[in-house]
Amino acid sequence: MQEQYLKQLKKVNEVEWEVPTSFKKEMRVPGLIFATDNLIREMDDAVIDQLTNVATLPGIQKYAYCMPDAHSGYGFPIGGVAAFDPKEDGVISPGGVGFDINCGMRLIKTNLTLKELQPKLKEIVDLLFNMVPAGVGGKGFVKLTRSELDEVITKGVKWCVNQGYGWKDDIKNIEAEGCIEWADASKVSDKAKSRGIAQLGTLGSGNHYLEIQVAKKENISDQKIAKKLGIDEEDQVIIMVHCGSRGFGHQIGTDYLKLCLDKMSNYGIKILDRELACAPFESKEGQDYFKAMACGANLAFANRQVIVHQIREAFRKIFKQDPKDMGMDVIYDVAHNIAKLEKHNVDGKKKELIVHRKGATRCFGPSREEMTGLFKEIGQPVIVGGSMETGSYLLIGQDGSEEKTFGSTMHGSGRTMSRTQAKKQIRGDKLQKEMLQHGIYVKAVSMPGLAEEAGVAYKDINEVVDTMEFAGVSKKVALLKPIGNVKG
Amino acid sequence: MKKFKFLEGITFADYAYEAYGKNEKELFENAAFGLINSMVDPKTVKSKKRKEIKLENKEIEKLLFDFLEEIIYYKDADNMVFCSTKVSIKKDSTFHLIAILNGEEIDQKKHKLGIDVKAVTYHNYNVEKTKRGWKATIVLDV
Repeated sequence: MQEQYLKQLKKVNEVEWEVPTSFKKEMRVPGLIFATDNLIREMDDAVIDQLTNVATLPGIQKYAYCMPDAHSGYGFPIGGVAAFDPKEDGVISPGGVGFDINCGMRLIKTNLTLKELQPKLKEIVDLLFNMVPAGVGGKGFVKLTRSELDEVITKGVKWCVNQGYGWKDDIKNIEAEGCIEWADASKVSDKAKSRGIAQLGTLGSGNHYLEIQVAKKENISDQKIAKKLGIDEEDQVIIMVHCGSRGFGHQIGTDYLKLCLDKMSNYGIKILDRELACAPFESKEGQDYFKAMACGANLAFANRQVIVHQIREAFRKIFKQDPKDMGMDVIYDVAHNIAKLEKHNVDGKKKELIVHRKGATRCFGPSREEMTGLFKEIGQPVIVGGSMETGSYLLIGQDGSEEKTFGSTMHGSGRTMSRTQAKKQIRGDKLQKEMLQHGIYVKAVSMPGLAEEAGVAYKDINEVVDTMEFAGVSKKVALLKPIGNVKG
Repeated sequence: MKKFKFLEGITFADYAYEAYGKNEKELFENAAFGLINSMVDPKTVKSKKRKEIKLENKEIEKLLFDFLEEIIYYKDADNMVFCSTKVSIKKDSTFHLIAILNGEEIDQKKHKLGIDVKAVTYHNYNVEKTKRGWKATIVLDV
């Protein structure tokens, strides 16, 4: 970030920076960025511009927030959080969710150790590469009719489990139990359905992946919580999945972005960037998007569920054991591109707000009413995907998060280099060989795509995670180191 | 004249490019070529199937947006990538587009694939007539 921007920020404490409303005359609330001195300098200037644009939207409450992994996106920054009060003409914005509705993370455990898995690493990654399609043109194995697709997008993970793609116990460990109830299939276009019908169980490309990781004892920060979440063996093998709602969600985003652009003037809404197109939450357009978005979210939950089914089947084939005997339970599944109605305190008043998290993860502490079962005791797990070279984190939400960020934290380590720049500096095939020398076996559909995801293109994940721990928002449980990766 | 070029400094996580053309027809063909190049090396795609796209819009900017979106749609809905695009645009009170795209179904073993494009975005989106012809700035969500 350039000095001229930095000068305009007010440093609140070691990890919080306020962007005052004087920055842009249309701002209704200030901006608040969570970052260390180093991370704020690394952030691109456009983040400030986008964050302050968000702060101009009707009904916004408290602050427009930016997480420490933030980088500029389109409309909202990636790593952005904004909550709107429907009673104050608050809006819902497709661009505040992102095209990839419910892009999210899922973590499953095994009771295998690195020693047991290592001899079969290549074999299992190769099989996963075949069984979990990735990249452009990857088709899923589940063949759906139109009416079955409607069931998937209204029932989410419950549909999958009923079809045998998963276990009943998986459901309780998924945000919203893998089904957003206000989904309405009639609010989704035929085009979206045609784009999504053959893609259930596919990863996509970009930064999406399936990764085999290891939880080393020395990398566990909170043994008590790790144990409660099923991580308690030395060098335990864990599997992480990062993907979203595929062409189905992307089309919903496009359809409603265009609809909002057309209809916004009817509500007298003025925006500073077309990607911020929005509608009052209570309006027909706002409600229709909310219901269509829920369909996209349910498809993404179902997508990750079918992928987990395939992972279990791949492990069954290679290790000749029942996945249940290998302890392949879901640790958690959480969205990082979504808008949700939640109750929050604003200036001492309890309000129901539409909270947008775009490249940000909900991280409620144990006392929130949404937390049930184990999570009522320990808080909500947060899965933070790092680069495929450096590692990822499992965190736990803290009660202080509600006051600080409407219960939100980072979603990844955040890019620090553009895709074009990464491709210029790095060759995919060379990177693949180097990673193998470091004990990480990668299979990728696209070599340029692999180069774009190199570790050097990302921020230091430790610093990002520490920032939100310092802020009292989320706390480290375990650092998970990659050993095998399937990419698009 | 260059058909298109990828841009730096506009976007971090997405793809940005500029497409050029001496007229609207050429601009549309080259914008399509830039999009296709993000997803696949078109030299590895054979012309086995064709798709016809018919669209109309009063604004040239919106017409190009919708046209690019159709190419993304066929990538997912029909699993198709393309190697050639022929566009014709007629104008009366509105713009009428007919495009013929040739290509084939995606074969991951045969095609040199790039990135799975999610959407065309309005971020920095711009279509303008310059002294040298037409120019479009396009950011893709990937």
